Amino acid sequence: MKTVLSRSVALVAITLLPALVGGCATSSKITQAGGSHELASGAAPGLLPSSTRIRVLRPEVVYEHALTEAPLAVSAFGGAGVEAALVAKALSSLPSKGLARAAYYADDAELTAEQKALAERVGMLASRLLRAHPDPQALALLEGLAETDAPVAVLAHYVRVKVGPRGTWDPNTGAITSSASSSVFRAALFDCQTGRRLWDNLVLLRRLPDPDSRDFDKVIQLLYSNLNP
Amino acid sequence: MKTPLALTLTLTLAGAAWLLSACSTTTPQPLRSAGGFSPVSMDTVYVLPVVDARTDKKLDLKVDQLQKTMTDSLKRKRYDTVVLSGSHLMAGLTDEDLRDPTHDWIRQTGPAEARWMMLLVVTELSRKLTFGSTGNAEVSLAILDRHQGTVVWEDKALGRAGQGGLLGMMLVSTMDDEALATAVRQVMHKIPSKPKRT
Repeated sequence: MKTVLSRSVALVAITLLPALVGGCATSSKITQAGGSHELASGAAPGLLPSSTRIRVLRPEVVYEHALTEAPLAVSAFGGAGVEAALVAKALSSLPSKGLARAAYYADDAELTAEQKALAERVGMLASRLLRAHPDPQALALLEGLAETDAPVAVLAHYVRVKVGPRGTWDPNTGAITSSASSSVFRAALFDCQTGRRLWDNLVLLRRLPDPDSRDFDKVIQLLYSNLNP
Repeated sequence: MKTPLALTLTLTLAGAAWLLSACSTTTPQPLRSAGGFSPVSMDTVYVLPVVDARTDKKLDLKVDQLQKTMTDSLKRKRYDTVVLSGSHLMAGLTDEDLRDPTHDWIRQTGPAEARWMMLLVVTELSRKLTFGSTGNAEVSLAILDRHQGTVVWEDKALGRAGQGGLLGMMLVSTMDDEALATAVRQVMHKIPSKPKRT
């Protein structure tokens, strides 16, 4: 009896061993990638004087079908909540990074109505600013937010959510699949005077974003992790 | 007597029509293609190096092997191909850059003599261990017209693979490769074969 039991245990162990070893090389739910911009990735905004005003732009959050890339209604997936949570987390994270003069553009009393409208436009072009080769038109708009009396930098966010098919299980064949939904969070800090990217980062979440989840907190924490004062 | 015969004839004809429509194959269409463009009109296809635009690059991606898979598939479909090597051609490009490439970028890419260029971009590759294992891959394929500086063909595929149970757990290390192969097969499948040369 003992022999049969030990053999069974050994068999199960041998069967599962490759899986356990292989399991070490499985993909994480949340992954941080270094910024694509070599100069900027994780660069210290110590380059910025402490008097720098940081304008947090309205995050660009887009939802699309993972296969067809057809745009989906942001409201159907609670995208407004993601936007608001991103701004709130940014404003609470920046002071601890030595960037105390940070404000959301819409609530910034120092901005004129024209500047606010311009900041709104720049925020909507976040995806174009965050490319390896930023859109020159978007960069030109940034200059309009520069001020003569103090340095100004903007913090742009872009979240691209791909809504894919859900996981499946076929009871006849035992075939299974995982959900193909994912969200990419990008953030970058730009100097308005020069249009130079001072810092950027990118985090992948292999699921739909939920601002109330622990995963979302982890994503934000990772997103600003290399923004060093 | 006349009525059953007419009914039988009508039913037979309807059945034949249904059979014909069921057997006919439709050419699979890509996500987007420029009006009037058909891949069979391409003379020589320049196959650009595969772009690894993944955020998570922990899993090994054999870009050269993927480029070879594409080239082999094109050759089987009777296209003349030229393989362009050198990752510097695509250095630093991200998924976002390739989403809406500019005319200038397209015109500057590849050799001057090239007109049709094919580009495969891998945006996601992952594998997961549960009670079983799964793999996911996401690829995009584009055909660029270097003369016009435009994208004339755009397609995308999600490859998913997986197996439940202990067997699936043992196969975890192969799931990402299987998912990627499925995705590449799907995008290449939509490129039609060229007619046989006489």
